[in-house]
Amino acid sequence: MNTQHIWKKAEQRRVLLIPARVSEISGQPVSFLFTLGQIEDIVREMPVWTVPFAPSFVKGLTLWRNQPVPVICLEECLGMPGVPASDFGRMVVVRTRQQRGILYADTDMRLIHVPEFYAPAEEIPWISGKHLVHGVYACAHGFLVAVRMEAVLSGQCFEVPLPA
Amino acid sequence: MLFQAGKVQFGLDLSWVKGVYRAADLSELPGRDEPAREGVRSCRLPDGAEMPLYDFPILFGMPSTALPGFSPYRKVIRLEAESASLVLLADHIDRVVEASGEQIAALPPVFGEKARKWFPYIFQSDMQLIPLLDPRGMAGAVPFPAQSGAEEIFSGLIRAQSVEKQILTAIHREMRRGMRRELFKMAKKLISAVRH
Repeated sequence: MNTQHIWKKAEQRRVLLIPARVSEISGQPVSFLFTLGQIEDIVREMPVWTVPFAPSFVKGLTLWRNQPVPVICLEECLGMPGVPASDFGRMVVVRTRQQRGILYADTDMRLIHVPEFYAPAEEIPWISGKHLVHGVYACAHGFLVAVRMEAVLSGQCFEVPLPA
Repeated sequence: MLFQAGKVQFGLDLSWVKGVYRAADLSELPGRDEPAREGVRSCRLPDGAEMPLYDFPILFGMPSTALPGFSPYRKVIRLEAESASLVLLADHIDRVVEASGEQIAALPPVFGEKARKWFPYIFQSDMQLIPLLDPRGMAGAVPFPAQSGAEEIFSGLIRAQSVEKQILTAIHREMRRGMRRELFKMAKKLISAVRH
């Protein structure tokens, strides 16, 4: 994982923090980190249509700008501890080169400049889907998780990574 | 054809539907074949044919909105698609609608193999999203991710619409105004004849 490179690229930008609905890790809150380029829209919660046999982290499909887009619970996808709440209020449309996905979020999202002091988290036993993250960083805002949305949305979440 | 199982609405390509019966007209074949999984059992149709029956609400763990079992209010849809012959038990049949290629989208890969085998497409109707069932994926008759019959039909539909648009645009561009109306009608008739 070339996490250093990704972080440096993002350094000049502002980023969006979406608080993860999980219990605190070592007394620190956990947030998902997205660059503004990844965010296409933030909308009020919309109706979601379920599809049978979908994995539990895929909550269904919603209609965004007349297109069906999958609604995903990242906490469940990454195998993070704690059960996400069902009442969110907002939906964030995240794009990759090929796909779009929608994440649940509540109103306490924050737009911040990339923090000056941060350190890659060495141990992340609280994330089971490690192949789905670019990296996890510890900073004044708590733990920030940079998710590989391309991998999540293209179905790589079903692949079990080979042992190193 | 749109039908309901539990509180979820599903769609089917009408060309696969070979008949619709009342559930009460079916007879179950107890102990004939042990069900491979809950929600799938053997049954005999009114014409004597024996087929696997997929009880949708049970299969998807959804509470049925009709009376359970072979209640007379429930409907049975007989499907035949290449090597796949099966019947599915639905709570009720809603209606038959026309679908254009623009209303149909592939189910995104994040839904996983099984969901995409059973429901390779999503149909958008009246601001609703309806999973479109592929009986061949249901019966395990198509190796994933081979192109299904539905895929061929839907991609053909999209292609046909694109060709239609190109023909009409070319005619419109080339012809004099006086001739346009007649030629336009002819082209539309031609396209409609090809489609049918």
